[in-house]
Amino acid sequence: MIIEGLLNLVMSLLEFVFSPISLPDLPGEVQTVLDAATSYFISAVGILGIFFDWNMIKVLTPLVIIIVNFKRLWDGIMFILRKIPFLGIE
Amino acid sequence: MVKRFTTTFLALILSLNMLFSTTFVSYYQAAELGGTIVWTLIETLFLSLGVSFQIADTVDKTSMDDIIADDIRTIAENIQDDSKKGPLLELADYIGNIVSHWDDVTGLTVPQTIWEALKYYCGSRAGVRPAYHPSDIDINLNGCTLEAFADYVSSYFGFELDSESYKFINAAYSKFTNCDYSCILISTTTDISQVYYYYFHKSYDYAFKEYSANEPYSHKLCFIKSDGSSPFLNSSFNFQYNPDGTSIKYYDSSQNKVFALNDSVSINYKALVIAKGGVYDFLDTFTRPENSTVEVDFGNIVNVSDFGTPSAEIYTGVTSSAVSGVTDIPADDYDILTPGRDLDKDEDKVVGDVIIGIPTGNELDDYRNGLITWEELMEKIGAKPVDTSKGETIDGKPIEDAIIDSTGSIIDTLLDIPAAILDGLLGLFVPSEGFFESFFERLNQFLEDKLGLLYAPIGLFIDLLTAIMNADTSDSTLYFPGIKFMEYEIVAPQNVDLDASEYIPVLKSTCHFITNVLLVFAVIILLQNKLKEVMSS
Repeated sequence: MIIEGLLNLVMSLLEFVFSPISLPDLPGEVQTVLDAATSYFISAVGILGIFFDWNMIKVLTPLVIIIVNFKRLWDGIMFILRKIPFLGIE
Repeated sequence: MVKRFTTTFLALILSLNMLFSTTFVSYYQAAELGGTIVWTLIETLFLSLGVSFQIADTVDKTSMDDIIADDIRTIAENIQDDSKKGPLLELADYIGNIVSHWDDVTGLTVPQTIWEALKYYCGSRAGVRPAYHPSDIDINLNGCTLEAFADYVSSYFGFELDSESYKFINAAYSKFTNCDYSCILISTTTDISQVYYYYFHKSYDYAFKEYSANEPYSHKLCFIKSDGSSPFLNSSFNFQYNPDGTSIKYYDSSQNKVFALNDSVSINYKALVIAKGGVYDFLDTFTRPENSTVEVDFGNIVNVSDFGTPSAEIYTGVTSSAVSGVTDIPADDYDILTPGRDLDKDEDKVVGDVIIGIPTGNELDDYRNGLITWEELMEKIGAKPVDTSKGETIDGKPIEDAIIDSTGSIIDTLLDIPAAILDGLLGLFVPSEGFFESFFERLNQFLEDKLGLLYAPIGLFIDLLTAIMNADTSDSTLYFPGIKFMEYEIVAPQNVDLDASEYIPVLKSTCHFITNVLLVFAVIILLQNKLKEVMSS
């Protein structure tokens, strides 16, 4: 509930901040080239799958992100817990 | 040849079908429109002549026919007993025919009352619905007598209403016109004879030879006026005696009040007891105190004075064989139906006094005034402690069971508290299922709309991540865009399945094993370093 509320708050702030902004899209030609490049990248994923087990990577990647950012995550959780009065965490 | 023939044939059928449908719809619409125009012209003509139409409060014959016939058929289909099912289905057809031809023969409108009565009668005959006359029925026969109705049915369709149904309708009709108020017993139990026994024998269970005063039977006592309205006391109640057993606790749902239905009202009994069809042995025979026999017709209004003055001890003189189906009732177990006693006098308190009936010739308020509330009665008798030996109940359960249930529910609630707290904390931090997915989708779309070309690289990155997330190791297909030289296509675009090769699968499994080991070790080393960092700081 807390995380949902915070994220919704962030979303509302973004909507408020960006409300006067509306930048144009990429030109069609550029977009076509980018799409082609993307398709090549995506195709390359298939080739990389020969050398790397994507299933293992999909499991380990979140774990690595958590370990690397452990301090920030810890601070974030404690920040939220401190807001709950009856827990008494200082 | 065959293909051509089939195509031609289908086209022909389709054309004919469309032509027919169009024609049919056109005719139908034309007929409907024409009928409306003609009817409007007729109506206008009559109105111009000063003839006003008054739509009678009658029944839509067609719909009533359908409703009743379907209702009865539904009842019949649910009956296991074939001896009842067959006649009931026949009756459904008869009713349909009666409704269709009623006004052709009699020239009168179809009174809904009759059909409702028949419907409920049929339900009760089938044994699947409690026999009762709905209290909301307006007893308005629109000039048709029930006798005439019965004669009509008998002569026109050759269908003889049996003696039971004739008595039921006839008695109800005639008696309703002759008394101010009537009392109707409505039972939702399967055997109304139990109801009757409980009323007049104060819950003596003849089958088990014991008192069961507090059995939670869903009995219903309804007083209705001769015009069919139900002014009060249309209530459900259980036989719940007060602690010293002098009265019935009676909840009147229409007034949302609990009464003590005691005997402080001077009444002349008139009760219409409509029994479940086929089960009315209990009404066959009553015995007067002086042992003379009174025959009581099925469905008839029973004037209790016919078989004994209420102040007399009706059943004390009854022999055990007097009541059909009851044998060997100990004389000591008879109760005395004695109105007019004063509850203040202990010697007048008789266990399980039951009085049903309403005054005739008196105003309704007199009867209301004769009732005291349950609380008043409790005050009057000094609010004695509950005697659990007599089976005091809480919400229809014996008090011991109610206490055990309550204790059990309290313990369950206490045991559920830790889990509830944990669920609450989890609910605080863990977002609902699908929240992140919808949130990031919303965020992505919003930024893409607002930032346009600036967001293109981020979009590209997201697409790449999505491709990785959706990547499946088992699929080694590679899209090959093809090779063109000038306008000549040398190699066409195609998907190349690398697993089709003889060596690729071997290479793939080997590489996967090595990279997996390396990755796991790398993560372990990372975790170790992070642990050191955390512990040192």
